[in-house]
Amino acid sequence: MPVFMRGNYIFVEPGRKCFEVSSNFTNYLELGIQGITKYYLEAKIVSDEFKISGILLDKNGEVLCRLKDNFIEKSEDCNKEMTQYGYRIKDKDGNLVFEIQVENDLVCYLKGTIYGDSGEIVTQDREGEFIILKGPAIIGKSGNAIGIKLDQSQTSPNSG
Amino acid sequence: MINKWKLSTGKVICRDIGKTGSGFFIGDRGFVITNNHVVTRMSIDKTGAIRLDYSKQILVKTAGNTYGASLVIDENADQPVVYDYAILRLDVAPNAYFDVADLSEISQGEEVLAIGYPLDFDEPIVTNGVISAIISRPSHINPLHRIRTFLTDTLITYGNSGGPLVKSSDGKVIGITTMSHEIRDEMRERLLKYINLPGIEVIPPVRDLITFVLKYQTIGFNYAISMEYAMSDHIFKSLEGGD
Repeated sequence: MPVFMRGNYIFVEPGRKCFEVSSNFTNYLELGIQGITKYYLEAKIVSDEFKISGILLDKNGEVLCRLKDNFIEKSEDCNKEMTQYGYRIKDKDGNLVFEIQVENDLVCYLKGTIYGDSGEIVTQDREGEFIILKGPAIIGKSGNAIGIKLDQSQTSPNSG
Repeated sequence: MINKWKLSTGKVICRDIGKTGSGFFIGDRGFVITNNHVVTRMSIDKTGAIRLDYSKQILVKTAGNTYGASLVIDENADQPVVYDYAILRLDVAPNAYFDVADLSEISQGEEVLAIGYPLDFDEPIVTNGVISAIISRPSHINPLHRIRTFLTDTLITYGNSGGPLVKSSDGKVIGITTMSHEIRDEMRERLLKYINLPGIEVIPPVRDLITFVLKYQTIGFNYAISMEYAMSDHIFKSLEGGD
């Protein structure tokens, strides 16, 4: 039976800067494992600034773009488009890959489909929610303490 | 000393997009630093994406001479846009230039000067004040990023954008003067909304007066973006290192 977790504040106080992940609010998100999986995404808050880094793959498992602290590293396969409240990353055909949007300088929303090493879907938008379909993933982190950890075989508490 | 600082500052004129601002020489190889918003025209399309067009006709006027300038930064990179800097290059060596201060040693209360070409002045104008605070504020163009900014009571107005904020003690540059801290109160929002409401006719002189007052209504604090962002631009660093 699936487990649903919604509206929780994981390592973040209400009213403070946070990411919205699967309808929960958190200070940290990690998808994949840097250096282990071919893809990864790390979203963290450093000195009151949202910082997203990672390697995004296409549906064939090929590297589409590399992000370092929100800035795209040189890539011919994707474009970054700044918006008033964040940015979008599009593939060379103009299809949306990933989007970041900050509301009221407080909540950072993530959108898009992230593919794993074999082209499997790791995250997906469902009715405006950023749903994690596949681990490994970490939601919430403070020092060595981890909020929710999903192993490779697990799916998100919200993916049910 | 002040004459050297004035010679190190220029008026930036973008003919094709109709913008002017200030800029200043760094080093002896003709590099000029200014604000990104001085040399670009920004628009927002219907999807909310920000579009920027860089000026193709940039001139720098300094010490009575006018020179054509080329952009050094990557026009497709968004760091210059987010941190509001642009780096230009002239084909001539400057008569004088600024050195960059050790940015880790700047402290609140330090006396500073702003040099630039505000309003319609064709001569460099010098104003003074102190560093009122060193703050981290959201980027004017994208709230995702924050910028280390010097808040100062030094008078800065339209045309000062892109000019240097320098330490009074030694003339080393610490920041790029960027914008005034606007008053964002309820009355301002109501007036702006009122004059832009479709179907309501505000007679032009009244509309102009409201627009003018709101444009120049500032609280007296101004921003200068820390030099660290322009100095760490990878193209600039590679050129500065030896062309």
